[in-house]
Amino acid sequence: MSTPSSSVFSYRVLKLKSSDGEIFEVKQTVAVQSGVLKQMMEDGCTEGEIPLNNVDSPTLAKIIEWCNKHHDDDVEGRVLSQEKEKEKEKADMKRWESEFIDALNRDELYFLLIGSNYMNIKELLDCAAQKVAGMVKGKTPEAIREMFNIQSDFTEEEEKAIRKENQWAFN
Amino acid sequence: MEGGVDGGDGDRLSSLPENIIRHIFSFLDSIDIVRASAVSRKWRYVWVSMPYLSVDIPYKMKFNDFVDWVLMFRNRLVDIQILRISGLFLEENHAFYRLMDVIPEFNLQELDLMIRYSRDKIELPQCIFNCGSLISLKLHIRNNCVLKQHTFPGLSRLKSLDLCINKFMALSIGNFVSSCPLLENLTVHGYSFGEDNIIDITSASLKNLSLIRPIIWIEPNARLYELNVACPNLVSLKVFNLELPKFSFQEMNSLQNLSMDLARGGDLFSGDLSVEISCHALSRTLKGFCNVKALEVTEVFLEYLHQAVDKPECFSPLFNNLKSLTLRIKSEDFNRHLLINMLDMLDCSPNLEALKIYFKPPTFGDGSRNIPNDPWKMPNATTCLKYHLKIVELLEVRDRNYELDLISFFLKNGHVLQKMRISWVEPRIGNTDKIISEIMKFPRSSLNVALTIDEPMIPAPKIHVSRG
Repeated sequence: MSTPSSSVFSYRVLKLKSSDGEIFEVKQTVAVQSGVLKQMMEDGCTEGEIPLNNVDSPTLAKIIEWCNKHHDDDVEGRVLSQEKEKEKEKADMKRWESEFIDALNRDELYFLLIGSNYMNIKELLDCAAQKVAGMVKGKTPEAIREMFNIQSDFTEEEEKAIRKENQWAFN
Repeated sequence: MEGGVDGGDGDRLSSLPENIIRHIFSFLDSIDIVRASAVSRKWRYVWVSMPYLSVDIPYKMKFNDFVDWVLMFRNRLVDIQILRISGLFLEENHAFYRLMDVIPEFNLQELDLMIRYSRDKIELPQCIFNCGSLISLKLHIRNNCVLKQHTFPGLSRLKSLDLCINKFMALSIGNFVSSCPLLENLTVHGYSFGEDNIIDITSASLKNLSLIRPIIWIEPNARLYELNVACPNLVSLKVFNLELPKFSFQEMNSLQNLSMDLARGGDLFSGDLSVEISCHALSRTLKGFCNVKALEVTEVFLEYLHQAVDKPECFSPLFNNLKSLTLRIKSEDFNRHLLINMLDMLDCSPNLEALKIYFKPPTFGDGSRNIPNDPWKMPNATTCLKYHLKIVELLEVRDRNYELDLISFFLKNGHVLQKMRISWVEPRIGNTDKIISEIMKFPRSSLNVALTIDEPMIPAPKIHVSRG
């Protein structure tokens, strides 16, 4: 997406400061994928270091890796390319995305969800959320508890009542 | 303990804030969300406020119970913005009607129904069309389908309609479209519309129109349809299995993207249609979309175009605005004539910037029909090659005789060429390295060509049958 501001500042970089104090430099054209940073650019308050208190440096590195990959630099080629080609590009990107997400361990996945939510990067948030959704899909409550190491805080009666109320989902 | 996704003490994920949990759940079917409500108190009532229902009805699950559950436990203060049901049995399904009775109270915006096959004709439930809040409607029905037209009220907010129906009786798509004043996107998959097989689409709001039909030989009795389109704001049009001269496009000045798959056979090739008549029909059509920026056509179109070019007294086509052209060509038909037709097309497109040629896999047999290796005299460069054509892509190249000539032609004549990409399907003749070294030796007019040759692909399955 090209906004007037991003075309004016296309060669400038933002300095992002992670919660543990590390500085990352990101091109503005890449950073616009973050709703929060985009807003800051539009408001003209991106001078100096931008503190991201909810994102630690390993997570921020991952997020920037994602954004660099999804950055539209070949604009001309993309405008011209036809649907079939877009499908192929999309399929390649999907493969990259699933490899990217599958390589994360659970803690990394957790911090990535928090970080992409905080920085408002919708595509990354969706991708990570779908990964977790895939882990939950088709599982019984017991299996979900076991997977996420959750202790049930229901009494036996309560659990029975839930199952009865939602019987269609438990057959 | 550190570990992959499948190990370690991963209770962190369960402690995600509720808005993220809800986002995660939004990718799940309702059944999974409801099951998750039995996991812990934190997740107990998340489902109550999820603004959508998505259910895939397996054979044994009682849809009735699902509907009871929605009616009894659903919080009516929260909209059901999206309702997706797949695998619905419509026959004597009172539960579905009960559900649809209350749905208007939930401000439903998107309805997506996949209805199971049953042997008899089904009547499309009237209740679907009483849902005035709908913005998007998708109906996938494998049956012959009847809708009593006199009771059709129209959907005043509908923007997007996607129909996949075997046979649509007693309702003309045209009437449907006219009664949806905001409709912008219309996609119809199916091969028979109404008794008369004439589709008239007139709409001031329509921007994207796709009419997709399964290929004819699946259903030999399916008649071709006549299509008349008059949509002054249409931006994108995709039509398949159209037969000349049975269509007319009017008021198409806003059209930017056209993808047209003309049916082969029928009149032109049976000799029923004189060249003059087909020329006239083509010129009438071409005038409707001479302003397009992006065009996707097959070899059949090129044949017609060639006839028109051959008879300049009848019509001389010109696509002045065309920037991007995609040709889908059957690899077994790729011969000298086709090359000439292709160059005609380039002649008609003086401002073309990007050309893409797909070689479709052979439909029958292995496509090893003998391709005569006639010597091909290179023609002169056309305008677009001299000044505008920057990108050439040849995709799924199969045989190498004419294709190599074609590559050589574009490299030699593309004065402003910036990018050429070639992708091979495993070549039968010679090996890839040899072909590549041959290509590298071709003379080039543009010094800045980035030439990429993709890894050979595994040949695609030979017969493609797309069923709606």
